Amino acid sequence: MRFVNSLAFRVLGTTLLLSTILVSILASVLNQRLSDGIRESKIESALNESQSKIFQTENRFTLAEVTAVSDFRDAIDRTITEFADTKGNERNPEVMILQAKSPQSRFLIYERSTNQISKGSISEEFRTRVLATRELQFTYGEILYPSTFLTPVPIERAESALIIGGQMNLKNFGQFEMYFLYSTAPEDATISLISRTLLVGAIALVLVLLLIVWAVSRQVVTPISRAAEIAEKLSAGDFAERMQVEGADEIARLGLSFNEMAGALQNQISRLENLSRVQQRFVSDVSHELRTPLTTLKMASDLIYRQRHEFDPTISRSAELLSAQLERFENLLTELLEVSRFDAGVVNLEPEITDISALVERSLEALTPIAEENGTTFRYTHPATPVMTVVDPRRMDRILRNLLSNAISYGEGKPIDVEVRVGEKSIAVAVRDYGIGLRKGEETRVFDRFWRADPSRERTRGGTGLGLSIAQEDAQLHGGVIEATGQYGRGSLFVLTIPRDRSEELTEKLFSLTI
Amino acid sequence: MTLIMVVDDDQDLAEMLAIVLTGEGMEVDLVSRGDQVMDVFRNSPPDLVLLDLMLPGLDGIEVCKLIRADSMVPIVMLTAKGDTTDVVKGLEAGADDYIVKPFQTNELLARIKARLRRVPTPSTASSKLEFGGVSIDLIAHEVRRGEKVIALTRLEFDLLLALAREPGRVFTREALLAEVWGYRHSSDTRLVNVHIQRIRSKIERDPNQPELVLTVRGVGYRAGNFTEQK
Repeated sequence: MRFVNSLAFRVLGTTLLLSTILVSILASVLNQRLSDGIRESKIESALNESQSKIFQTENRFTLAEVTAVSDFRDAIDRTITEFADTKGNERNPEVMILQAKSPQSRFLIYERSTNQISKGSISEEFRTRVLATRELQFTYGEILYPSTFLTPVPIERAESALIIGGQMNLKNFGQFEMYFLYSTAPEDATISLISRTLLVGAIALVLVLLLIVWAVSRQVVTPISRAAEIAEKLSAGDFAERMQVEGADEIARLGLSFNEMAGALQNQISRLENLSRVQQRFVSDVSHELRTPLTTLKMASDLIYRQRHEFDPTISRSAELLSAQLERFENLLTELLEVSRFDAGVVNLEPEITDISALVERSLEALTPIAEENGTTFRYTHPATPVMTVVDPRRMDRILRNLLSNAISYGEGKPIDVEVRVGEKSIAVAVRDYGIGLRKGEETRVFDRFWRADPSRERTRGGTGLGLSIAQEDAQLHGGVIEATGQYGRGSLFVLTIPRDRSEELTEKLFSLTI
Repeated sequence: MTLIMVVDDDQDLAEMLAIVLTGEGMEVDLVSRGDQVMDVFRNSPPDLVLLDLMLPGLDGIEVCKLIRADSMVPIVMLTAKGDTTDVVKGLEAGADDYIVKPFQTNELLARIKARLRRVPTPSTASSKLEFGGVSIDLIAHEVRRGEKVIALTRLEFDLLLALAREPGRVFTREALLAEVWGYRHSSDTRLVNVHIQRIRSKIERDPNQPELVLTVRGVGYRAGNFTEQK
């Protein structure tokens, strides 16, 4: 289920990211275009209106032949009052008449504005621009309203505005400037409405996209997740599960090929299982069929062997050879059967809590007679406290006996060192002999089946050539390993390392593989 | 004279066994079919049975169970497989010991003799041991819970006695193998485990919560504490 979520979420996440980027670019461009348009049309109409008002005022003065200063002031006042009147709902611009700082008008300062808006609404920089040309100029600024007498603290109220200014020549009184301050509040309101609408629209669009993508991904992901579930069941060994196939699309093809794969796997595995069963049966049959006659042979041979002194020397020697070779044959048979069990994968551990030190001790005791025959002694070192761990004691014993017999066979009668070491995560047993040793490259080959260090060497001990290979398999069954190293003429070192917890990987090395 | 019953369908092996055992001064009864065992057994009860597991007529495991239902005679299994399932099945059916084919003649004789031998009763020790409501009569070779006699095989008796004689001592499985079975250097703990289970099922009040034969985890077994007895 987590898999479904992650895939669907990944698709949704990508969609969210990409659509957000795309929609926000789109919305902001649209927003920009719309607000620019609104502002431009406002400017255009405001410019026209301003121009006409300036002409109107100029004409009034020209036609009225105003000459007296008092008349002039009246005329200005009237003009301002007229402009201050609001017609209907439409808000008129605030108007301000300023006197250009020209030499002509030096003594005649009379500046007026509607609603007593502050002269500070017009920046000096903008005035300079207006005075520099006959063309109308515009800028954005703020209308500064004076504080009304009702407010206890004189606070100027500001309103953002489109400010248009132009020169005005009043007959007999020289150059003035007239400023029109259009509040942009309505446009701002419109623009912000548009922005909000765009934002809401964009979010809605993204959400709808996500919904669509989710719906689509469900259609794709559900079969995939079903496939994943079935794959999990397959790997858990349930081969009966199949996907449902509907239609003929890609999903259906996935289902079909998935089912084909499952079928092929099922066949293959049941074939292997069958093979393994046959193998197991074979091993078991051979075991029984060969062992019974071998027992009779051995008992007969034992009987003859015990009485060999009563026969003439050739028969006596033959009895010895018969007995020895039967033993060898038996060992070979046992080990071959064990190897074939390993190959068939039908071996099982029978774990028990065991003291490794004591187990090694017993294996040493068991092999001491053979060691003495070869003139060898064991030197055993182990930790003072018992080394408790869970192993299959019979397999462990077999590993040790294999390592020890090997050391006896190739130890040339020199003492053999055996040491048990305990680490945090593993336990190791080292068997070191000082005999023939190993040549370079032989340290891995010794574990090969039927491999012999020197083909021409006499087979004194009659080893089967399978012992170390079986020991290695036994070690691996415990999650452990046997490693070997050696130097020709100076002996060899075999180290068995097993993890204390069989499920854990072997990482710790308790012996360095050098001699 | 000691009578050994040899149950094996392989005529040659049976004959060879007979030669060897007769050579050791024993008498031998040969049986080749599983379903004939009980007739022969009742007519002339042997001192020990050598029993092959693969038999025509009736499976060795079944034969083993039939004999056990009748008698506590020592049974040594002959098996061609050393696989645990076979061995444990046989031991659970009542066999005392097993020997895997092919075996050494000496080894076989040692096993037979070990099973025929009585554990000598130390003269110094008392003739009766009591523990946990169970009494062991060393002279009559009898184990009783109250008045009821519990039928134990010789091997089970010896195993229980070994533990009960030294109540404080913890026996490793290897020590028990050496003491009771007469094995040296053996790590075959299955023998011990199965027989301990069998003793428990016979003498414990609740075999799942043993009071008399206790497991010492990771080490072995010991007899239940004597002070617990009432």
